[in-house]
Amino acid sequence: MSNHKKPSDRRRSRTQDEVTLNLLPFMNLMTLLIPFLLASIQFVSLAVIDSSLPAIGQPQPSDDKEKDDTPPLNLTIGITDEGFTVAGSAKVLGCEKGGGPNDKCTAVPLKNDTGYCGDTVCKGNPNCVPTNVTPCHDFAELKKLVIQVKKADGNGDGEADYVKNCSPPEGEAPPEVCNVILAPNPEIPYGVLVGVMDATRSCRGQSDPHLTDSEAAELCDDSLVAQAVPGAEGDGGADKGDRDLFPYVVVAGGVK
Amino acid sequence: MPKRRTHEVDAELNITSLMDIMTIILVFLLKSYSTEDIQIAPSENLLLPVSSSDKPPELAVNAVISKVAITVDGVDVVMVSGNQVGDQDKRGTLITPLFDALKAAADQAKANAATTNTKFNGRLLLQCDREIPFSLVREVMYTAGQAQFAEFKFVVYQGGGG
Repeated sequence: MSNHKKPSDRRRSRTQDEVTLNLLPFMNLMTLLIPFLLASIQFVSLAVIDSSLPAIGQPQPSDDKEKDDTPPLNLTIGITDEGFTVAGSAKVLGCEKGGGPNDKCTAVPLKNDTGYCGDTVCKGNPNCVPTNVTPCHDFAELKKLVIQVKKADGNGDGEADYVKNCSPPEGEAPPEVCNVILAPNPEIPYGVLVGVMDATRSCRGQSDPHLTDSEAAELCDDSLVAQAVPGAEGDGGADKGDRDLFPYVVVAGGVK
Repeated sequence: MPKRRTHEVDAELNITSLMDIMTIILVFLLKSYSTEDIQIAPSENLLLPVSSSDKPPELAVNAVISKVAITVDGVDVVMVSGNQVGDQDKRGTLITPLFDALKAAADQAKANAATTNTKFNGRLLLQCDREIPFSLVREVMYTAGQAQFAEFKFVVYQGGGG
């Protein structure tokens, strides 16, 4: 006797046959999908920095519609092979005096630190090969200076007059105090230009690559948060701990 | 002599575990699927700078300044040698072959905008090698300005403190 099962068991086994799902069509689909997705996989993230047309000749002061006594800032950063020169038309920099011991037009010299210079090129990107060039431009010092300019009191009323919301409603231009004019020398590498744009864009709090934690806590404080413009979409920057400094870049024709 | 019985066993491959692996790979690949509008071809002549900007790229006319050539939408338009364009290709600050290529791209973009009933935005994506001197970038920006591109978007690698 080959079958030792009881009649009742035999009946049950007939009704509970194992159902095998045919997975082959699904496997075919997977085999097609995976090479396609592998081809479009993204290994590096790209981003963009906005800039407007370079001004040929003298930078034009923008039409500030606000009727107040705050002088326009026109923050201009000259980039030379000796460092940065920060200038502006407002009293905060004292540049209207045209030099002298009381002139606060500030120069940021180059930094002679191999570790720092390698970091400024790669900024923590593991795939980047630093071209160690020392001395290099001191973006950290420039950032501290720019934060001070942003917090400055333009008209002597004791308030930070240049802290404005840089995310205006759709279709409207940002206030002039959100602009920075870059005036590089012709021989300055493009990478340095991007470094200056990074240093002047925003305060990122403790994740800021230019500042130590204690500096970030001291400098990127809530005095840099402007009131929201009604109707503005806002990019949620303030929620992330970002504080706008000068996010709109105008590249000028060069200082030589 | 008793007749020997031959056992005919249906050989069936169990692919359930393979399916599990495939599903995990599929989810991982879908997560890293690139939906960006621009493609870059990294080479030793085009090393983009790293920036802390996190603004995503948008679809626009694409100009690339590498150490060997200036390219518009994938077509080489002028050669670069020693980080500058030859004098025969320039008229003052204007790079003439680049101007012609950008003008054609602008006309095409305007025609596309007219058919879709939108406005030509004059946007230009600029991919520049990080060691290119500003003088060349400025010439390209000036030429692009003459070809009615007024809004520049510098393409960078995302990084540097989030």
